[in-house]
Amino acid sequence: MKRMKAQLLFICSFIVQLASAQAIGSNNEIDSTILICEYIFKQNVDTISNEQYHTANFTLEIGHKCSKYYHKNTDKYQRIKSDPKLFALYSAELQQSLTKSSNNILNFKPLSLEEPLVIYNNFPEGYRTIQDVLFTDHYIYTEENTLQEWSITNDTISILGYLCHKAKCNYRGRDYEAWFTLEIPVSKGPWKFAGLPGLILKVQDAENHYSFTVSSIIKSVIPIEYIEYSGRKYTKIDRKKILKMEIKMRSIGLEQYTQMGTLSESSQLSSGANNQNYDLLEKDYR
Amino acid sequence: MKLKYIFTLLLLSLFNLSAFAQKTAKIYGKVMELKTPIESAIVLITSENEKDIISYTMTNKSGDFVFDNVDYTYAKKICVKMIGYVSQITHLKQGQENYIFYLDTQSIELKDVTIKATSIKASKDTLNYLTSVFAQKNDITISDVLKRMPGIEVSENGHIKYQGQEIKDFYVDGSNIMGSRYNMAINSIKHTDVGSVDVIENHQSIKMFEDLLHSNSVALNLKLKEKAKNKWVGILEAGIGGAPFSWELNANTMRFAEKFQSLNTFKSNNIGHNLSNSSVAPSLLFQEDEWSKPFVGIPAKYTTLDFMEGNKTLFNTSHLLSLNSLFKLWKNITITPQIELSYNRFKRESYQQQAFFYEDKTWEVVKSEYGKWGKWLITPSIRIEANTKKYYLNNTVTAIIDRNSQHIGDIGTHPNQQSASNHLASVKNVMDLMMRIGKRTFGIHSYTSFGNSPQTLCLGSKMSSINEQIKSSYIYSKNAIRQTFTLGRLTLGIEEGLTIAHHKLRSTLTGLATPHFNSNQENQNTYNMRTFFVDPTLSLDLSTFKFSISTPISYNYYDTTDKIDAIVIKKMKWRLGASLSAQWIMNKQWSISGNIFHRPISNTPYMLFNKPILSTYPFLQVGALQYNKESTNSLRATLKFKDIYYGLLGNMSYMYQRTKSDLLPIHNIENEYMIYGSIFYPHESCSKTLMGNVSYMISSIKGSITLKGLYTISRYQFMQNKALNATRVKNTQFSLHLFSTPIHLLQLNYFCSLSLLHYKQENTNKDAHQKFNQKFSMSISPFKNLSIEFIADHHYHKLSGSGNSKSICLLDLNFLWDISTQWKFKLATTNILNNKEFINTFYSPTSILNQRYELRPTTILFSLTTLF
Repeated sequence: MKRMKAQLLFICSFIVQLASAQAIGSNNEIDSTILICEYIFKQNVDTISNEQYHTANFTLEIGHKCSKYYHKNTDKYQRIKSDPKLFALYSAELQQSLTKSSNNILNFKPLSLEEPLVIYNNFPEGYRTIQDVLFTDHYIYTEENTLQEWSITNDTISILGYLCHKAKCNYRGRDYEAWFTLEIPVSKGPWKFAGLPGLILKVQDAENHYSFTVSSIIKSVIPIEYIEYSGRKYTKIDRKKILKMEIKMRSIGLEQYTQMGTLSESSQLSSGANNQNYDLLEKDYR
Repeated sequence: MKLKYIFTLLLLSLFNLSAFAQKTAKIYGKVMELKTPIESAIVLITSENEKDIISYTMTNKSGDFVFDNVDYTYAKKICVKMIGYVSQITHLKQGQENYIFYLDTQSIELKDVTIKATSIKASKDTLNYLTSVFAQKNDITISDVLKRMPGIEVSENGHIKYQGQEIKDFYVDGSNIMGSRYNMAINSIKHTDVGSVDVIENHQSIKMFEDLLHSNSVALNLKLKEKAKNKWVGILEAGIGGAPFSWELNANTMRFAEKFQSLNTFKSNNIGHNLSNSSVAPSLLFQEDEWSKPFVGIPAKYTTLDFMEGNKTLFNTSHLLSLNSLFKLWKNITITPQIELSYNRFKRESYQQQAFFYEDKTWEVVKSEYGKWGKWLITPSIRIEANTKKYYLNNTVTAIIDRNSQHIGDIGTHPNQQSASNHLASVKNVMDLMMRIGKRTFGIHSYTSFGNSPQTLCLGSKMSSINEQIKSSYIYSKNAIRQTFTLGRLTLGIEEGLTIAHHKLRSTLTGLATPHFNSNQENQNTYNMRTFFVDPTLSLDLSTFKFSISTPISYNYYDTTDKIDAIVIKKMKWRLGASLSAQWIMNKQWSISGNIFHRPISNTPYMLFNKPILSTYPFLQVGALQYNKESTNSLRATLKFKDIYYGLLGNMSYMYQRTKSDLLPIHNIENEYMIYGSIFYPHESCSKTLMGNVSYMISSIKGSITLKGLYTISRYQFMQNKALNATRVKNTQFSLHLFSTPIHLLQLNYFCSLSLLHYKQENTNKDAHQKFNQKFSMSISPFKNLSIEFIADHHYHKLSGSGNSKSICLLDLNFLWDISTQWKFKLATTNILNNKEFINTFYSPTSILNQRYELRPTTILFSLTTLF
C-alpha cells in the first residue's frame, strides 16, 4: 500500500511538474520572492461548542513590492484542471488508485478546490487583488491596499525563536492582536494583514475564532505569478457583494453537499455553518 | 508685589510653553541605496534602549518618510530597517528635522536559516549582482569576486566580458573615473567596499542619445557602500621573503566624494607579477588608434610565455604608479587627470629548438639564450567631459612615452650578442562636441595623433657585425561632422569627414650578408593618405526589435614614395561598405542578435617599404611597395539567455568571416635568415567559429559552475620557399570553472581547460596537439581566523604524431591569519615541489618550437595587509 501511495504521489508530482510547464492561463511574473512563509490558518467553525476547528496551510510569498497569499494544493489542482488532458490523466490515476485499494477508499487526500482564496497584496500598486471561488464560480475583486491601523504594546513573546512584539487593531468588524518581529524587517503578514514594522508571525481575533500562525520561513527566490487559470470565467464583483453571497451560499452549499453525500472538509466546515454559530472573517458586509 | 507674582507666573508659563513646543517636532527624511530611493523601508522611532517602539512608518516610492509629532521626551533614536540591507540607527537630535539614510546591501542572519538579499536582481537592462554572495573569505579585491559572478569573465590582465561581450564602459559609483584603464581599478578596489555590481546591457554612454540611438554595448558599474564614500579607503600590503630575496608592495587608496574622486595605486614586486601589461581593453580602442603606430617595429619588448601564469615563470623587478582623479568643476563638467608610470625589468634563461619544415629540407635553429629587458612606460592623460541630455563634450589628450630595451646573448646554431631598443613618444587628442535640439543632434568629432619612434639594433657574431637604425614618425588626423534626425521610431545618422595621414620611415641596415641583399640596406619612404568619407546609418527601434543599416562610402587617395629607388606610386579608389545589424529581445529571458557586413579594409602603411629590415635575429622582414586590396565579409549571430531566478546565464554565437586579400604572407630561408614579408598574390582566407558558454548558480553546493566551449575551423594560405601552402586548422576548446562553499569552513575553486588543435596541410598528414590545464584551490579554516589554502596547478600537453607528452604539477601553500577585521597576515609558499624547468612545445604545420625555460624556485613570502 505504501508503495502504491509512493507511486501515486510520484505520478501526481510528475503531473504537477508537467502542468506547471503548460500554459495555465493568463499568468505573468509580478515580482520575485525574498521569503516564503507557511501559515496555519485555523477557524473555529462552531463557536457555541468550541469543538470544531477547520485548519489549512496557506503560503505567503513575499516579494520586493507585492506578496501573494494562497493555498498550494488548491493552486496545484487549479493548474492541472487548466489542462483537460492532464486533468483526464489525473482523474484516471485517481480512479485507478481507488480500484486498486482494498476498501475503495483513498488513503491520501486528493487535490481539490479546497481553499480557493488567493490574495495579491499591492498588486496592482496601491491595490489588492482577491480571487475566490463560490462553489464553482470564480470571482475577482480589487480593493485599495489600505493597511490596518495598529497600536503597538509592550508585550513580547517568542515565536520560532524570534522576539515578537504585540500590536492590536480593529479591522472590518473584528479586534485582532498580532505578533510581529523586528528581526525580519518586512512589513507583510498573512491574509490582508500588513503595515507593521516587521513580519507578522501570528495574528488572531479577540474571540479566537480565526488565527494565522507561522509554521516556517524559508529563503527562496522564485517568481511571484499572477494567475487567472484558463478555462475559468472570472466574474468581477464588489467585495461586500461577494461576502454577502458567501454567507448566504454556505447554507445552500450544505444542502447540495448533503445531497451528494460527500464527506469533505468543506462539508465538514459547512455542516455547522449557520449565522448563529460563526461569521465570516470580514464582518462589515452587513 | 502681586504684580510681580503674576509676572513671574506668566514668565514661567511662557517658559513651559516654549519647552513644550520644543519637545514635539516633525521629522522627515529619505532612505536610499546610493542614489536610488528605497521603497517600503521601515523607519522606527524608539526609546533609548531601543526596546520600546514609540512610532513607526514606511518609506514611500521616493524613499521619503515623515513623522508629524515626535515627542522627544520618549523618542531618543531613529532606526531604519529593510530586509536585505544593514539596519541603521542614530540618535535623534532636537532641532534636526531631516534625516537621510544610505543603506548597504548585506546578508542577514536569521534563526536557523541565512536569508540573503537576492544574489542577482534584474530590472530592465540592468543586472545587479550582490557582492557579498559571491565573495569568499580570502578575497581581497573586487576582481577576485567578479570572477565568480555568473556570466562575467575576467581575463588575467583585468579585462571584463559579460556573456562573451567585452564591456565598453566602466563606472565606479556611476563615475567614469578610470576610462579605458579600468583593469587597474578592479585590482585595487577591495570587495568589501563594493555593495553590488551592476551590468548594464544596451548601454548608451552618451546621455543625449539615450532615447534616440540604440546601443548594444555593455557597461559595468561598481556600486560603493556608503561606508566607503567621502573618506580615504584602501589596501596596504607589504611582503618580504627569501630564497631568493623577494618582496611585494601594494598600496591602493581611493576616495569617492560628490565633487572629488580619486583612485591611486602603487605596486612593486619581484615575485613574477608583470606590471607592464595594464594595457587598454581592446574594445575601448578607437578604430583610429590602428593608425597610431610607427611603420615597423624591432620587437625589443619582453614577450610573456602565455602557457602559465606569470608568477610561475617571470623573473622581474616591477614598479607601477597610477594616479587617477576626477573633479566636478560645476554642474555637468568633469575633469579627469590620469597618469600611469611603470618600470619593469625582466630576465630569462631559456633553451629553444625550432625547426621549420620544407618540402626538401628542415631548417633548424638551436639556441641557448640569456636575455634582459627593460621597459619604461609613462601615459599621462587629461579628459574634460560634459555629458547631459542636451549636449555632450569630451576632449581627451593622451601622451605615451614607451621606452624598451633588450640585451640578449645566444649560444647555439648562430651564436650572437644583440642589443636593441624601441622607443615611442606619441600624443593623441580626441574631441567630441555634440548638441541636441528636439530630436535632432549635431556634432563634430576630431581625432589627431602624432608620434615618433626611434629604434636601434646592434648584433655581433663571429661572422659579422650588424647595425640597424630606424626612425619612424607619423601624423594622423580625422575630422568629421555628425548629425542624427529622428522621426518616430526611425533615426537617420550621417557622418561625413576627412582623414589625413602622413607616415615617414628612414632605416639603415649595415653588415647584412645574403645573396639577395648586400651589406648596406636603406629605406627612405613616405606615405600620404587622404580620405573623404560619408557614413549614413538608418536605425529602427521597435522596443523589442532593433535594426540598423549602414553604408559607408569613401573616396581614398594614396601616394607612397621611395626616395632611394625614386619610386612614386599614386592611387585613387572608391570604397563602399555595408553593414546590417538587428536585435530581437524575445522576452525577459531570451534575446537574439546578429550582424552582417562587408568592409573594405583601409591600407595601413606598415609594410610599405622596399628594403629589408632586421626585426630580430634571424628574422628579416621585407616589405612591398604594393597596395593591398583587402575586404572582409562577416556574419555573426548570437543567442543569449538569462534567468535570474535560477542564476542561469548562457549565450551561443556563430561567426563566419571571409577575407579577400592581394598580399600573401611568405616565409623563405636564405642562408641563416628567415625572410618573411608578403608578395602580390590574390587569395582568400575564411574562418567559422561556434562558441558558447553557460553559467549556473547551484544553491545546493553554494556556488556556481561555468562551462565554455569553442569550435573554430579556419583556412588560410601562405607561401614558403616559393611553394604555396594551404592549411586548415580545427580548434576545439572546453573549459569549466566551478566554485563552491559546501560548508562554512571549506571553500573550493576549480578551473580546467582542454584544447584540441588539429592541423591539416595539403600533401601532409593530419597533426593534432592536445593541451589540458587544471587548477584547483581549496581553502580550509580550522579556526575562525585561520585559513589554509592549497593550490595545485597542472599542465599537460601532447603531440599526436610524436606521441610525445609532457606534464607538470606545481603546488602552492598559503596560511592566512585574520589578526583583526583590518589586519591580515599571509605566509605564501610558492612552488613547494621546487620544479626547476618546463619544456613547452608550440606547433604549427610549418614549424615546431620546443622551448625550455626556468620556473621560479620555491619562495616563502611573509606579508601583512591592512584594509582601511
